[in-house]
Amino acid sequence: MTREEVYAKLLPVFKDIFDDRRIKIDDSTVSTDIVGWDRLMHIQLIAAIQDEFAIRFAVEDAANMKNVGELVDLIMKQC
Amino acid sequence: MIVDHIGYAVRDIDRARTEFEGLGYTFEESVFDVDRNVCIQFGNNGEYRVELISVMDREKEAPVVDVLKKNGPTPYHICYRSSDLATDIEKLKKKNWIVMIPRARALAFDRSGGGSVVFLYHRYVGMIELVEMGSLGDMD
Repeated sequence: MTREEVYAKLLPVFKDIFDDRRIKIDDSTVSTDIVGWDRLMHIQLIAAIQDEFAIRFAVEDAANMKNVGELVDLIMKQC
Repeated sequence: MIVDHIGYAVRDIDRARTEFEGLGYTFEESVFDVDRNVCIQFGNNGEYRVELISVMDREKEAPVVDVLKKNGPTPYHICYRSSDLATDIEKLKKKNWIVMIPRARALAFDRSGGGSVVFLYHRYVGMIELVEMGSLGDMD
């Protein structure tokens, strides 16, 4: 998948998990940019992304990603 | 899998216990799990068992901190008994369950002969805990 294709599939997941139709994400987006992105929501997000992309993250990768760009990199490694 | 208990996040464990006692529960002694930053107390009511969990230090991390912030006092996980934790974790991971909190010794089960627990999350189910009684080694 290209980076653009990943974002096209990833954005609806963010909108669904954070229940915000207006949400916007890019490589520099971090958890503090999105209201409600705490540890519990992060787990929900990771579970939804794994499901949508049919991939699995290593526990350390899921916990340590610093921004959406790193998340997209991890998705692209498996897609 | 058989249900071992339902976990309740509570702000004030002493006041919560008093209310649960009014519902017919009898409580075991409380356990302070410093590593997990929680105070735990099990209550039994016939075949039903609840685990009250409160935070020891709200400034430090603990999953229950986020649960309390979002929902206030609430049941937030069901704990299932496993006879082989390592195998069950691998089975569930293949079904898209995520390990939220890796396998670790659970001090709260020491009085029952010891045990280790793991917390898992699934997109369509939420959080569960698995406990393997009598198991303290082979942590993942």
